[in-house]
Amino acid sequence: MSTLAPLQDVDPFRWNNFRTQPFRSLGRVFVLFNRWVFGLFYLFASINKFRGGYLFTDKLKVTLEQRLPELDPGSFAVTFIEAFAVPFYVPISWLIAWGELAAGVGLLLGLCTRWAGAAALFFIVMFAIGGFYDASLIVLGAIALMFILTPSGRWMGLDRRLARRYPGNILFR
Amino acid sequence: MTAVTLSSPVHSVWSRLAAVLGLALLLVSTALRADERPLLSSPYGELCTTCEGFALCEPDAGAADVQAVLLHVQRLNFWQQIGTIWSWLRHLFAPVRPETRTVTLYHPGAEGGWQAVAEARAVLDMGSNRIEYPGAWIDRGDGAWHDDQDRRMGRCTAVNGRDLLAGSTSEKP
Repeated sequence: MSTLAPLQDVDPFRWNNFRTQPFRSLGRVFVLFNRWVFGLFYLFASINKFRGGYLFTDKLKVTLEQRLPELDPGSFAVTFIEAFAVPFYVPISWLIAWGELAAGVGLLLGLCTRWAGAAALFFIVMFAIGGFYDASLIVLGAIALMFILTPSGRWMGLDRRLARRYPGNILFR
Repeated sequence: MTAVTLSSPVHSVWSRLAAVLGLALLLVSTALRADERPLLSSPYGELCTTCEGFALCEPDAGAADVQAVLLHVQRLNFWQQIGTIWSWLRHLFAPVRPETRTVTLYHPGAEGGWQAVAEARAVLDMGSNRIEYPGAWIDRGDGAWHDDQDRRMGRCTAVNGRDLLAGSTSEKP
């Protein structure tokens, strides 16, 4: 352990920092709590996809086709679904199921956290473009953005150890 | 291996026929289950937050004093859509709660078409399988339409309300 490079820029989250830096600690708790909730959300979402047979059935295609009549025919979402999502539903199903799993595990463990946050944000944007937009996605997108902008995996998570072992590696920043 | 394959019961004519029949039965039962979806709901539960639904309630033959009603369930507003994040979190730990939505009630107009007569709050409940609005409730299973004294008035079916409202005098009461 003594060979590991020191991490001078990010100090870990500690409960006793509340005494000296209450607002900063509160902010970190807020980010970490949301990260774990998000991680659980994506983990359960991916498990549902695997259990629901997304990888080997046309479930995504059926879901999208059921959504089409509910959308404004002139909207971009309809074009997106008809021209892109339905024709390529197989690779998209795989991308969603495995991508959600990676995002969920990453956020829960604090592993490649900023990238996991980017994946989470990517899926939110795709849901919105793909005809499932509602205002809650704005809030969820903002929360996902928090995981990209803050080094929360180095406050608490595997990124802290890995960044020490592989200093400069952008996966664990 | 070949001998095993050739003698396999799956390759007999009757087995193939049984497999086809079984598949047909499965498809029919799936279609029947799809039809059993509660009135004004989506495959995933309640109507999606950005979706609106219409139910046409027509009186039974003997109910001469009852007027037909077109029920227009509105989409959730911006803040209600954001509030669904909390509802989702709550659903992880507690049963699904009824959803309240704004509805517009239409009566047949004097000159044809539909006349908006009232705007009210309706409770959409998957638990009791009811849609309740002031003065009446609908059984979401069989579409039976009751007054608030539980007397049957008629039957409601999901309709494409936009088509019915085209050419009507007003959408707002």
